[in-house]
Amino acid sequence: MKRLLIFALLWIASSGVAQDFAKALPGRQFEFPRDHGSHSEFRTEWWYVTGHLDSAGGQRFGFQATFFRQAQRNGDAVEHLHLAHAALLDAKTGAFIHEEKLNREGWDAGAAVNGLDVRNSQWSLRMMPDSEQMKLVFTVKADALIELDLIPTQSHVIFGKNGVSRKGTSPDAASHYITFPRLKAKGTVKLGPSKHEVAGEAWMDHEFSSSQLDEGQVGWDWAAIQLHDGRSVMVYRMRREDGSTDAASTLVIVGKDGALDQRSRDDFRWEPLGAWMSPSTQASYPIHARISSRGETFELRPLALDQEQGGSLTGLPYWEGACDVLDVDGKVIGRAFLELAGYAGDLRRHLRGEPRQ
Amino acid sequence: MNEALLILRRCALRHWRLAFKQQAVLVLILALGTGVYLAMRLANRAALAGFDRFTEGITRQADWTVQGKAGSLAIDDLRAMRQALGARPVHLVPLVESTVSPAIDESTRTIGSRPTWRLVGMDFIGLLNLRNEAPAGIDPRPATLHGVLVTEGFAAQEKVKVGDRLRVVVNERVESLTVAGLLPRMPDLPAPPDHLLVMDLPDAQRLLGKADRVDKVEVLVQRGPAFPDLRDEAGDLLRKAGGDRWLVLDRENKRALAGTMTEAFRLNLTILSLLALFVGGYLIFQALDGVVLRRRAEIGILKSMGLRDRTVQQAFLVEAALLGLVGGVLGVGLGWAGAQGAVVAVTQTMTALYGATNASHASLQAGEVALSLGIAIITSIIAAWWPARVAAQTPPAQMMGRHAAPFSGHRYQKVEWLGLALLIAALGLAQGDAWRLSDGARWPIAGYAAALAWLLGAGLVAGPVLRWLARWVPGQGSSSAVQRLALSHLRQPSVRHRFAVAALASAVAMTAGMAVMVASFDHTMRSWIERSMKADIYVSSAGAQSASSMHYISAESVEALARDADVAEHAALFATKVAMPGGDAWVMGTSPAFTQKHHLYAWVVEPFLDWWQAESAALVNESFSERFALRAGDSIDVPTLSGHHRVRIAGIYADYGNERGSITITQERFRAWFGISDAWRLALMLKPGADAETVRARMQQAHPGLSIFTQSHLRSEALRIFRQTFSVTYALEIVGVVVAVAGLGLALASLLLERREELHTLRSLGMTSREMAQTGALEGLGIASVGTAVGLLAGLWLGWLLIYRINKQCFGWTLAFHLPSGQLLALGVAVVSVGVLVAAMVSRRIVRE
Repeated sequence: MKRLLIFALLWIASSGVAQDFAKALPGRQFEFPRDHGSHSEFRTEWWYVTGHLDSAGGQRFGFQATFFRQAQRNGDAVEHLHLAHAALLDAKTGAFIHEEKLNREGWDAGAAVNGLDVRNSQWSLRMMPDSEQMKLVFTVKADALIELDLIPTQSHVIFGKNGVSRKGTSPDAASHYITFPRLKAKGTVKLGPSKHEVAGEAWMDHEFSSSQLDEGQVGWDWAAIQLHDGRSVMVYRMRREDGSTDAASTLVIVGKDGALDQRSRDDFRWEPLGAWMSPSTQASYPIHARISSRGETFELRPLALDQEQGGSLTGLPYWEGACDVLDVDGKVIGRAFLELAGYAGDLRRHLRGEPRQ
Repeated sequence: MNEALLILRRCALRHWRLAFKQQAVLVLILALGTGVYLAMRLANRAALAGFDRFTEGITRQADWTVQGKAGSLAIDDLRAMRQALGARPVHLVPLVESTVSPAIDESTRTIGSRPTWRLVGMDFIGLLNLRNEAPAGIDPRPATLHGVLVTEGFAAQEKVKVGDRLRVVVNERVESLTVAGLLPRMPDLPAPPDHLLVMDLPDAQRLLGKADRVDKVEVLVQRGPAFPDLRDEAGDLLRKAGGDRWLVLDRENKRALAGTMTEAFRLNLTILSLLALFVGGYLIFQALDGVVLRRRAEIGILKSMGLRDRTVQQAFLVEAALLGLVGGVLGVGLGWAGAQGAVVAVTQTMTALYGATNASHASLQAGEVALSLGIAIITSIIAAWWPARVAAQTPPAQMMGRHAAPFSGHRYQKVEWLGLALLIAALGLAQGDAWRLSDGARWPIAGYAAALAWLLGAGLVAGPVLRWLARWVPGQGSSSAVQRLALSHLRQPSVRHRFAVAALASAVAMTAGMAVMVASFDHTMRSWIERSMKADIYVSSAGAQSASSMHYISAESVEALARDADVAEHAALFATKVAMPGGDAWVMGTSPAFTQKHHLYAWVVEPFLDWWQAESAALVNESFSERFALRAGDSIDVPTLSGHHRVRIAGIYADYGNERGSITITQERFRAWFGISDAWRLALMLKPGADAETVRARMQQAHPGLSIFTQSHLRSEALRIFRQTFSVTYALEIVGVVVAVAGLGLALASLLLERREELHTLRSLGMTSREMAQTGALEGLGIASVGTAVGLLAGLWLGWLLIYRINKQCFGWTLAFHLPSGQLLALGVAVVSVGVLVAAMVSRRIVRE
């Protein structure tokens, strides 16, 4: 559910009318590799890679590379805009760098429809024609160059019931949600003048829909957890105006064998343990959290406090960062990526398609 | 040095107060010289700046600019560029650009009179990626995406506000654009030029009919530690990937290209401003010489009191520097004010000829102020060197005795030979070739050196000529004391005589040389226009306000106009710009049968009959041949949309409308190679009896987006534009003559001051004041006549040099030598008359004192 940042683009689109676009309906017959590619009949789509990397020299990095596609009608024509985010955290120094890109579909941005091949300026994510292995290349300004091979060690999973992941109570608030929860990452990180050979693990979400948010929702907390025992957890909590958690909030445990154990709002608990206030946006993010479900506890502890992305292009700052996962005894049992949106500024304004200020 | 400053304070400044008027004249001369130089430089820069500033103010200065060799770039080219750059963090900013003009008013038919706006299409959404390098205020919301952004200056000038509509001519259509907003300013970027209109790229492409094509791509590399050499690396990668398709230019290349376009025009201004300074140098020398002369007694006293020679010399040099500073400051003011006027003329000419700009004011930069002050001070010090040396080295007794410095025959002899040597050197230098730069630009350095050597030489030779003529002129034994006295002075001319005649000869030579060149230009142009403009009616897009803009006439309109009942014959001319190694050139598609039938070409090298039937034959104009050093029979690889096509030069024709160079092929080949079926120009021959003006008015009414001219109107407009090009030169010629005549007056004043003792003796011998003044006037007549005669003769050769060497080498035009005898005669009579008048006035005044 997480990646709703694309809605920041709504201020570019003229209005939030989605009825002209396809809806996420149950019973969709997925075909791969075609369904790894773009679905231009849907209004919104993203490919979202997050991960943790370790260098031979002992350095640890967290990274994020996201490619969004957003369609808008212009008369009879449909135009697509491509937004992309990239970020890199040097866990040792706490240095966090990030960048955004926005381009029209065309010569400098696009997404293939017959398989995974998305690009935005010099950033790209491509799947090999004969396997599900991917190549991710991106820069963060002129400060870093990241080139990674991403090899699935577990097949992709499709979240939701009957191929549909619900985001709210309204029938339209749903998406198709495909995830590679375990990708072996290998490649190089060039940070400043130094180049590091790196290896690690990544997570890739691919989601497409035409309308996801419901009335009354003000933000969301999302996490992708990779446990050392081979299991993975995807969890999101939709926050409502009154501070309650939306009924559509979900936690899913992906077993080592790929089996999905989906749990509803009442079956898990998301508890903030500490907050960090951004000096630049004054937003207070609950970056330290505990998630518990059926006797298991996952404490998410960020590797660095400041992993806020300023949203200079979208005007929508959010916090997305690499975390360690600890059990009740304080033992590190995995790694995670945590996303906290709707804490800075009026997210609803963006969601209503009003211009930023 | 302290002593020198003391003298300066006690003596020089006192003299300044006492002889305020003379000092003011001297300061004014310095100011005039500096001012003319600065005005030309500022006006030139302001007009030139327009070429490069269209995108400055929207983004930071691009690291590279990519331009298609065959005109524009395709979307596939953009993809190839991104691919070539790989993962490197480089922004590619594609642009379309064009000049547009407000929709025409039938009464405004003067070419270059309507404003020309530069319309640039940029991807507003892509620009958001240039955070901090482009204005955040270019807001890609739908309202902005479908309109045009204008500058605040434009809005004020054209009295438009957001929501208003602008009616502009694009190709042959009148389009209405909504003002969507004001172009925001970035604090660290230069202000965008006022005439800039900015649109979102897709809309601009639609408007300009350039679907899926862009005119250029600005390349902005991101800077950071992971990519330390990215600028050079990106340039190399793009160049390598470009191959036949595109060129990668940096700021200097772009400026050079713009420079090439206006070379002819700038050449004239440069020569003139430098020559004006050169003549000004003579004047300053004479003026300071006069200062020394007036203070001889004082210097003598100071030296008797033990003041060292060195201190005297220093005092004069400091005084000269001070005069230079005051004159320079005044000159900067004058130059700036002059530039505001000159820039209008310069800009109008550039707009008409090159479609460049509407720079409305010339801004002053600190460097230019320093340069101008430096020129004034250094010229002043150089000119003061000799008088200061004389003042320092002359013994006190001689100083007090008020006698002229002893005449040095030996030095005189040497200077005489130097003059001849300089003239011979000039003849030799004139044979030199232009210095050809790697990018194809040519710099006629030998030609400039020859001009300078010739002017100096002519000036130095004028002195001996004066002496020689004075010996042979009748009246040596005349009973008139006035006549004999005057001739005796001229037979043994002093250094001051020599400088007066040299200054006059140089100024007249400069003026005469320019007059010959301008007359030859005018004469050649007139015959060329008569030869090449034979059609009854000429049609172009009303959006094309200049010879360099690319607005087209649709094939449908060409057909409609050709079908007019009064039209007997028509010929369309097709054109596009291509990038050749060394700069842009034009490719023209023409109808050879039409041009041959009406003998439209003036041949420099005539092609074989029916040249167009030969495979790959082409014509080139003279500028092209000269610029790219290609002759008949040579081959050219022409970049086209379908790759390079090799053509062989079958003939070379004269073409004074285009100094960039053009290749002419048949229109069938042109259409096949460039895929352009719209015409650039259309010529119509009317049936006998049809009235061109009536037909024109009818056609104009039916096609409001086209500019339709009758032959007579177009001819007069063409001549007007070319004359406008030289309008500044007339003003400078007058400045040159005024300065030279003023120099003559100053020289005579010095001579008479020097002869005060002699004048007393003559008075004692019974000579009246009137007779003494007549002597001075006669002496002035001698100097003016010889200076003018030598100047006129030298000017003829200078004209030849400008026409056959400098012009030809610079922009490849062969002009037919035309002697403006009436004009030169008038110049001679005017200079001699004014010279005598000034001499008489000065003499009378001095004698009365």
